Amino acid sequence: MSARLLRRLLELLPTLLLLVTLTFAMLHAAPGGPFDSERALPEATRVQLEARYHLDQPLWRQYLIYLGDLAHGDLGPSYQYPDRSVAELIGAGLPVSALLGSLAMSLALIVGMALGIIAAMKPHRWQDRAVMVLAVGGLSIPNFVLAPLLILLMAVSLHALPAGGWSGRPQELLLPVLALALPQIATIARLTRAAMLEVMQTPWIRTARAKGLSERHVVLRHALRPVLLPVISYLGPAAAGTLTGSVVIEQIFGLPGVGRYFVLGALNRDYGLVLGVVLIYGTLIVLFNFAVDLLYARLDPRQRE
Amino acid sequence: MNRVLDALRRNRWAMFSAGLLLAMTLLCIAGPWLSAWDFDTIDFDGSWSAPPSAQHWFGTDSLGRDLYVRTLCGGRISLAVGLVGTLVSLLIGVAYGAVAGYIGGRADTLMMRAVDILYALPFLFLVILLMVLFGRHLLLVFVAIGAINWLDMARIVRGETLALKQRDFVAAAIVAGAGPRAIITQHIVPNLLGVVVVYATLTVPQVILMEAFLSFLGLGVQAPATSWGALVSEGARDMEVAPAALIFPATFLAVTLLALNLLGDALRDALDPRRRA
Amino acid sequence: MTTAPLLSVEQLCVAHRTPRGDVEVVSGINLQLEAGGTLAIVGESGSGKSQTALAIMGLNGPSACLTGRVLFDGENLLTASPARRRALRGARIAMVFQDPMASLNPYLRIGLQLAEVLETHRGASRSAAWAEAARTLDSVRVSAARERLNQYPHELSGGMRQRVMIAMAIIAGPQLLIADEPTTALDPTVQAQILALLDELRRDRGLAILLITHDLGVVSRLCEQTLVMYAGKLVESAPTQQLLSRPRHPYTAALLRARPSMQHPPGLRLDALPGQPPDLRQTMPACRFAPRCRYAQPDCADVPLQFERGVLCRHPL
Repeated sequence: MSARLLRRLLELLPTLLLLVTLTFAMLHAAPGGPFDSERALPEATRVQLEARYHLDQPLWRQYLIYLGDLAHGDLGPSYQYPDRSVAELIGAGLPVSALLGSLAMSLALIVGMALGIIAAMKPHRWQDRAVMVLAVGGLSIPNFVLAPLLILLMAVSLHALPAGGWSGRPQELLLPVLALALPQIATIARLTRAAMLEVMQTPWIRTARAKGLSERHVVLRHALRPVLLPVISYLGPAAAGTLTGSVVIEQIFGLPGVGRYFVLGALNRDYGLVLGVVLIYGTLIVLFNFAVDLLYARLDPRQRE
Repeated sequence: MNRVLDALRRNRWAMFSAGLLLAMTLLCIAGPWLSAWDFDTIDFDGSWSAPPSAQHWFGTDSLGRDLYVRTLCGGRISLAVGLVGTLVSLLIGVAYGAVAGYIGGRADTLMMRAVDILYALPFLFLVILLMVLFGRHLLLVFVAIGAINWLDMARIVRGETLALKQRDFVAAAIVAGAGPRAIITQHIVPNLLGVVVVYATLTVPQVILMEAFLSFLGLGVQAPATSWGALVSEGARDMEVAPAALIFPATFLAVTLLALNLLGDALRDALDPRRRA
Repeated sequence: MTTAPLLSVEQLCVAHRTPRGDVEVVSGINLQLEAGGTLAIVGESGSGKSQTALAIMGLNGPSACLTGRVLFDGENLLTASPARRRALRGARIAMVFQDPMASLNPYLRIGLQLAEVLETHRGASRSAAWAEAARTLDSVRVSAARERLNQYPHELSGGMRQRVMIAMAIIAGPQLLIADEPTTALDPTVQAQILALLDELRRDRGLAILLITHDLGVVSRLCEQTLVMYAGKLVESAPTQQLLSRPRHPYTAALLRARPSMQHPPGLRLDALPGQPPDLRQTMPACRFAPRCRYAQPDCADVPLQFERGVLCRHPL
């Protein structure tokens, strides 16, 4: 198991290196530097700034410096906020983003699987149809469309919930989490339903019934684990989708997370900040996929060696 | 293919979706001509953020521009991005997958390993980075979105090619002296058509969604041009005053995505009845 | 009416609702099995033999519509509540399925799959159930029974898996064991061992066995009494030895002719039965076998038949 773990960890390296190289290459292929966009700077200041950010060095050395800095956890300076490092900015936003993302993922998993199982237990009955309508609807209403509609309904019309902002109160997260989770709920419900329908057809479920086990026992103990497998392999893409979605959701609800810095950075052409967020989120997704692979192998005895 | 069309014809939802998509496309192309307004002309006589009226069928936006025309013109861009982006991903994915699957062996392993590595990257973030670095050209949106969507297609096409390679007509072509290039273009790719059409149908809504996402953030289509994503973004900004500015483009976007998803699902079921639940 | 049989099936019909109309897969089956007795149902695939077995278990699925009576120990199972049926399944009526590879849950340890039967039906504690599981595995001659409990199905050979299936069926001490093609998926040598094991269980535990098979060789080794089914109908019923030596229904005779045997002269072709079983959705002639029967007479197709003196045929051999 440990040798396998090590091998899988080593396999992560090319992905991460590719990510770093790609972002670096894009940065340098871009027309114009970060300091010649808005207003012209005095020549001396420009040279000084370029020296400070190593922009006067040959490209390969810039790449090595960049890699070295990354290895020390240094994501470089923010070009827009010169007094703060990118790592500081991301560090400030990460707790909010992490809370939002993990809540949305948990909600999506619990509700999505529950709906999928309910639908599969009553195929072609009203329960099934209701879940499938919800699922196709959830896939077709993007979260950045859903979020303003939720605000319009719950905050503007009913005054039931705050429309945005963040002061640490749980009700402020309710709408953002819901908007972020709904597309994932839809996908997970569809996956679960399909897997459940397939599993319930297998001979070993018939055996479990022939043993006189209750339907609840058959579902929870015999069917749930194989149903979990496709859902778990979807967790990687789901995490990527949730992170991506959190960018707009934070923007819409005015939550001070990483995603909002990202959008501001993108609109202000703050290369350092955007690059830092891409790297951090990229690494998170790669590591998350790795954890999911391990979990998958643990759940399927035939995959264990 | 005939069997697939037959199955599709029996599926009421699929036929309904296909009709809806056709109507949506025609409306977006021809609809703006029916109105007296232009998509970026400001109506100084009418009020800003006006509700729907006989003058402005969907009302006006916060600058006093006609929302009916803007929604349909935005639809032109959204649908065009969906089609072109899908076409780009299709070309890359089919070529890559067919070559990997046909050559097989070590080259296949290497090519698919590369796909695995690319899969793990947060592509939408890279696209945003691309937009930030190279400016926000519409063309770039097309290419970038197409270029990140080819991975699924490559995997599916490779799998199908591996299966097709074993079939007798490929062996017959080899015996007849056809080269790899001729076999791939004349025997493999035409037989992939069914699968490719199904997954292309499912790719279109993803591409439209991506463009809308980028435009919502202000990184996609740039003013004065507009798309459904950009309109939703504008509408969300002053929805308290004028909910129509949010609701109309949002509905058009959601209905189109819904119809495409339903049609794609139905096509997939028709192609592979075993997977039907 | 001295002693009622353990199992008595009367006029059992099983129909499945499908999008293209109802299909009756079992049409009016009668059978009886004494406690500790053995009975075989023989037929081709699609003859309704497995559906009959599933009907006794109550496992035909949601699309099935059952009529008639299935009396187990005097109680009609078809009108019993779902909870009552569950209480009987696994505890007093158990079933072994054809494919031991697919019939065990690949994700759960053998021990858990055995022990849960006792935990469900006897409320046994986990440790007591696992200890009993080891003893039961031992009694069906699974070597190193204790270690097996912690293994997963894919780590066992086909024969071992079928022994585990049998252990799972008998662990709660049932009175009736239904074995649906228990040896079909196994090697011939392993087949013989499994049949010997079933015979031993019948002798030692007084277990009644209902064997479902297409293999007349298996029947001759295990069962006293044999029923032959064709297209959902019972066509012949006789003591096994008599059925094998003097078949009265042309279909039974055809099955026997199609069977390879050691006495078969080398080089002589097997006398395979021509044609296909009928499509149960179509309307069929009075004798469903008539279109394939080499002894068919003009009246076979339209004069209604009665099951008389052990055979459903106007012109028995």
